[in-house]
Amino acid sequence: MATVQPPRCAVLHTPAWPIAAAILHEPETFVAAQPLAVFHAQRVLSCSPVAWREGVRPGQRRRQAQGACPHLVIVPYNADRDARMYEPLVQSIGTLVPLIDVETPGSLLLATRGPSRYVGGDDALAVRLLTLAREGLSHTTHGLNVDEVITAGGGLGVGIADGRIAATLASRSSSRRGEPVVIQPGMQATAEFLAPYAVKVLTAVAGCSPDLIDLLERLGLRQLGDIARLPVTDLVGRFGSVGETLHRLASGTDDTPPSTIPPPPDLMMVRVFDDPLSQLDMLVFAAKALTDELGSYFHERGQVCTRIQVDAESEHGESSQRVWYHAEGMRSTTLLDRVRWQLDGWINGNEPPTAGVTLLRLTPMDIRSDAGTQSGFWGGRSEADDNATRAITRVIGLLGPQSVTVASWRGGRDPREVYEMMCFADIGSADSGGVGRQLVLRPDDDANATVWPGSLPAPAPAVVHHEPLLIEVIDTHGRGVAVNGRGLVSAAPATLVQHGKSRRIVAWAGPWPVDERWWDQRARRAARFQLVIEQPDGQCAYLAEVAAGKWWLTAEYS
Amino acid sequence: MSQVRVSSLPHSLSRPLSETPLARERLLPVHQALAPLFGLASGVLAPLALTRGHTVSCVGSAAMSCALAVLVAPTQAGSWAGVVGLASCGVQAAADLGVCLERTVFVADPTSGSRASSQQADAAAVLSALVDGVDVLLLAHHVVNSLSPSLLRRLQTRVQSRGGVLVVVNEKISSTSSLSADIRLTATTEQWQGVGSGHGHLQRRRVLLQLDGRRRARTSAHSVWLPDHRGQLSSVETTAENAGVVIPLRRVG
Repeated sequence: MATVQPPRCAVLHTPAWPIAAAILHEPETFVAAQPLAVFHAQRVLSCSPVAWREGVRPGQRRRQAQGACPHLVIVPYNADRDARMYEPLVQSIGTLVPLIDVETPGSLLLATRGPSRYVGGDDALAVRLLTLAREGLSHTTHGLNVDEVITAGGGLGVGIADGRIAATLASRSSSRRGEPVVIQPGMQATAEFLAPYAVKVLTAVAGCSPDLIDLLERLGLRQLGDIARLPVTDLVGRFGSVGETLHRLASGTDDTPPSTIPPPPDLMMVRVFDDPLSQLDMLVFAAKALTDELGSYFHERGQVCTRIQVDAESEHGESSQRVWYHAEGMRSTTLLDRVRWQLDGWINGNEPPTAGVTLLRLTPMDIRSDAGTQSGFWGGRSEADDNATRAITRVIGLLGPQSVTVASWRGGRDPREVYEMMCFADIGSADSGGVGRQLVLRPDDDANATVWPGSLPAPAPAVVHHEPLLIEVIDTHGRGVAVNGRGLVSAAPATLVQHGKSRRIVAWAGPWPVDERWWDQRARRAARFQLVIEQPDGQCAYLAEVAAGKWWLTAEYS
Repeated sequence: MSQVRVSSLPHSLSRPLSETPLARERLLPVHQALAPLFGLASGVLAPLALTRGHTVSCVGSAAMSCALAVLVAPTQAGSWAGVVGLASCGVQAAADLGVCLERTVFVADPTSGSRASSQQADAAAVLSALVDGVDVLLLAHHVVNSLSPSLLRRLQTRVQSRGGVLVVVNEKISSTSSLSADIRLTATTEQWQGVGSGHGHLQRRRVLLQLDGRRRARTSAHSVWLPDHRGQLSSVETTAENAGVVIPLRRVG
């Protein structure tokens, strides 16, 4: 197999960019000296060095993280904010290099052949890139210390090496060391640099699945050098096409397989606006038509786009040009996200266009066949899951993220509390593997674990009023029924009065007292009853609660 | 010597096979305790009885439990369910019945927005988007009532073409609805068991389920425990010893 010399590139990387972006965006709320962590889907996405020293690690659950560091400040996840705050830095680098690949906000890549010759060598280029990045950031720090922000973001690293993987790893090690890391050109030097790295790094830099990494480790292949030493044919024999990719990654040739399909020369989506658009919403809406069309074009051919160039031009000739890269391949929604980030950064940034946007152009640059989403045979994702996720995403777009929820088990005494309703949008999108997996849906199989102290035994009520309804319960003499401090009922309940209508109580059970959270503001003392009412069309059962002398209807066994 | 000519094959044989949908593609499963209602033999685990494209209306004092019971088998078989406008739906009861919550989404009432003018259009867009993605759509009665009849007809046509099932929950038997249901499930509470005067706790409920519909000659009826003492749905056995079964009381509080 012919090996292709990978192009030499530079990667500028900030490990915890979401933290730095949050500080830049809301300097009053978030301070660099605090332990900060960004959560997404209930897990730590990234944390500041202060939080790291306290024991917070990416991938931890919220409880674990707060256990390690009780005064941890939680930063809400917001991909748009991260992208917008990164834009000035990209623009600043853009004064030196015209074409920049932004992988994610916080990490960008550029080809060094031209710029390196221009500034006089790789080392000079690395220093220049750092200076430019600092300048770009200082535009947005309103009086903040740039160094503090960069430190909170985990440092600013520059790595220059042959190929995307080597450059990315070099930049990571650079952000830890605090000085640029330049690997000598040539296959030999690259392979030597990569060899001691643990195979685990492939999950972060190349998107390999944790299961695969686990398997490699169990097979005794702990370092990238171990994989590179094996013959390609053996790896392909054991792992299939993944084996070939692994070998390519480990030996430092580029991660773009030599078999990428060159995009047809005329594949370009252009939309020219007769009426220049200056509002972001309208532009994104127009872009959606383009990305949908492009997405269905790739979908029909069984391909995904891994690199795309997005151009926008204003009426006065200003332009914004950016290349976006996504290793797993972009579909219409991921594509639209990139376009929105770019337009948002341009229009709401430091140098906004002086007139409306007249042209939007999407040019796919790298396409590969879509091998990543095989529908599951047993379990895994099915077609129904994909259809449903798509439909729900559309509903979220129409009604807003708060309106679509899924239930997650939490446990509690009250029927209202046992399941927590969580926003679907927070739990997972179509790209991250869907709903359900990250949820705690039921307690463990152990039947004893399901019994929450003080909970009501099964069956559970089918209608639960989140706003309890005020009722009156009286005894046979017409006096209100009360429960004293020792949990004793004053008289047997006989009649239930609701909206002025009286109904006879034929059976009742209780009181079951609740004395919750007496240690803080949310203290609640109540006694619960089950009441069975006789009605012309059959019986009905209620769950009622008496608190501070008033009766409330909390649930119906409908 | 005769020659068989391909062109002389009967038309029905030369037609592609994929045109005729299989029975299991046209039907959704129901809970095994509901099988007798649909005239199927009991004992099959998930009998296929619910025709895709139909509208089911659940009425009566146990309507909510009944509607949740309809969700059980399809969600367990991998279908998604959407619950619209039923903020007071008891999630724990649904989970106990066996509804697969990881494939159930709860959507806020699309007709109760602040934008009065675009409400109908919004609701139509939301419901049709959901119909495209989920197999079973559970609608509150007030959501159905706030839609115009033409919108409802369009929604039902869409459900038919997409192959989903619409379930409408309506606790009041008498109230009229502009929606024409294919199947009407009437769930009447016969008796609650387990509570005395000041002792015990609710254990199980005997419910009489009656099924009638437009294309059904007669009404079928079947008694079930909905819920039984574990919160699930089960058939009421007619054997004599069932009357003497003692379910142990559990500690409360």
